[in-house]
Amino acid sequence: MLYFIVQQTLICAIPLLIVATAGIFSEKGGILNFSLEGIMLAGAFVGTYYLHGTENGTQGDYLLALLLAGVAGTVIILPHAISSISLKGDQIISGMAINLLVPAATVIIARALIGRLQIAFTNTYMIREVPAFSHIPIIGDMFFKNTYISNLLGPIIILAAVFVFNKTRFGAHLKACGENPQAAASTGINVTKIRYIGVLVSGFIGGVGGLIFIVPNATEYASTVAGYGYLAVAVVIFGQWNPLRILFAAVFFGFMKTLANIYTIIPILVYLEISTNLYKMIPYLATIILLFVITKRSAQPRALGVIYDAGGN
Amino acid sequence: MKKKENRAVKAGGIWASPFMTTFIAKIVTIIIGLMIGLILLLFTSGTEVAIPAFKTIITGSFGLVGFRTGMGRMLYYAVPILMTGLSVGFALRTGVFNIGAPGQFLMGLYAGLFAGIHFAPALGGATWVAAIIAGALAGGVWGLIQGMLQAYKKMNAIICGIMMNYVALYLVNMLIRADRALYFGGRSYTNSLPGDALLPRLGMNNIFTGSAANSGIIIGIAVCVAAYFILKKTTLGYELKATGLNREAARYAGIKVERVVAVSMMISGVFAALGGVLYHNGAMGQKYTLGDALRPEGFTGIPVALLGSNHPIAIIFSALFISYLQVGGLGMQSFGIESEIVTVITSITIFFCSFNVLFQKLYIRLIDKLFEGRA
Repeated sequence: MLYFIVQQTLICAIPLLIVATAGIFSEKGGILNFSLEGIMLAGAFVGTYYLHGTENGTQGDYLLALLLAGVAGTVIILPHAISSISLKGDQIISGMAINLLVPAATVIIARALIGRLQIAFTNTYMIREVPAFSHIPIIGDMFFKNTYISNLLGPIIILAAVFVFNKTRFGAHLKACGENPQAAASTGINVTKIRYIGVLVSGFIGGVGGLIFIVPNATEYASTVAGYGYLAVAVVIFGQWNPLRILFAAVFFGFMKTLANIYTIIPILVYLEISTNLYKMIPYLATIILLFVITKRSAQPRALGVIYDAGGN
Repeated sequence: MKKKENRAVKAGGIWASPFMTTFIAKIVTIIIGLMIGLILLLFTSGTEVAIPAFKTIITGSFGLVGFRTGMGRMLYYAVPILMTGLSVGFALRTGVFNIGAPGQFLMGLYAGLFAGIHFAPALGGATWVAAIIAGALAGGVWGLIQGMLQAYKKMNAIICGIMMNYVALYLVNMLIRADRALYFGGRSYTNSLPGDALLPRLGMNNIFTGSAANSGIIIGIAVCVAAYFILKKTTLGYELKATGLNREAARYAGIKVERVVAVSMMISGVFAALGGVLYHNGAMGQKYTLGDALRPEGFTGIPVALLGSNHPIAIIFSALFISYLQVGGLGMQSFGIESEIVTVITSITIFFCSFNVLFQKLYIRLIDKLFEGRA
């Protein structure tokens, strides 16, 4: 049972973790990324469309689909990048536009491509046992049985993010652009270029996250990722733009979501006869309460969402 | 640049007025939205289907269902997005992005349903008034909670709005499920409202035959006019706008910025909630389907507000316009195209709204060129 809960939590937490990490790549550089829902949808759509066409898909197919999902995310975030960075448009509005556009557009495109509104695929991507690792006591049962290759991607992406932000020149430059772009520019950093890279990386990871949400959770793409993109925006703020805190936040949200899904198999919770809607509400309510209690100074990048004008015309 | 603009304004006359500049910029965004929608249609359905389908959208399907019905449908579907648009626009005047409109909309919808069913035996013909008041109260409280969290606890407006939306969604699900009068177990939707809880039709069913048009649109427009007067003529309105233009300057001028933000969110919540009541109590046999997804009307408020430049009167026209497109979208089924095409058009339009300032600059430059010789 414990193993089951851990595995279910991972299924919820991994996509959140990845998509929230996508969010910080954009936001550390000072560009708000409110479009994560739309980015996830774009990735999920293209990824499932590829999987739809494969029979008896292998892990290789899954990886290729993830790659395509990332490319789709990058393409769909490009307008947001151009609008926010080059045209100095309102960052919330262009992000929101993408969130509204993608689910509608994918419905129409899906209909045109396969004549149906949902894109179904056969899930052959679950790994029953990871050789060698699955024999480790406890951990083996929790993390290396009935798992997905994508579950491994979560920790890799978060570690890569920690590395990029703390150990590389690019990471330092990105943070400088998010804190004080004028100062960054005066030291010779190309603010525009750095921000573009940050936002596009954000799109790529977000697109990958979209497919990672779909594959373990569903058997088809139906123009929805259940609000995970919006939730990821919350995870970013909850995790205060810090990859490790985001890990904690994503696991917390994932656990609460899991509780909402599986409380019927936990005897004590069934006995309490609490409405399922209450469990579904808990992650959101808990976030409000936690933010209410913890009134620390926000670690938000100082230039986040502020229009940066390099001066001159 | 400044001098140039002044010269253009003099020479260009009405064409260079701020109203015209904004108006032209919005028209350009709408045209771009329509064009991209058309391109998507051409790519997905081919010319034979795409062209007549596109015609149906831009003629609001009046050709298919007749002028009276089409007109009535447009008025009917405009009501909820008019109110959520006003809600988003009003909050934006104070510098707050109200992402919480879908939640406030739902709270209003629930309160209207509750009052409509429970108060009908006691109130009879006046039930619909009670439903509107109940909806406004529920939305006001919900908006105020959000506003206070944002203003006094410095909570991020976006995170707060998203969380409050989902809390509202599940709270409403929970309340409806617990209430036997509103909901019979096993169904996925609520019971119908009694006739007394419905808004008066005022004979609009005779004018706009075959549609559900009702007095909701009149109430909605009246609320917009009221919002206009709050902004234009009251001290509160002045404080709201001052806070929206420059929060720190407003603070130095002695305005209690936190209080203003909270009050603005409360009013904004009332508007969004009215959208819920006026829509749900608007027509016979409306049922709210319980589920895990937020209703789209709250989000559609964003394009309505942006197209209307957050101006309460302009929002009336932008709501009618988007409703007009949506009614056109309803006719898409006969072409084998999903009505989502309208969402594509509106979302592209609001995408281009995000750099409207750029369009305005380009337009001013164009005017400048055109009238250069005369200056």
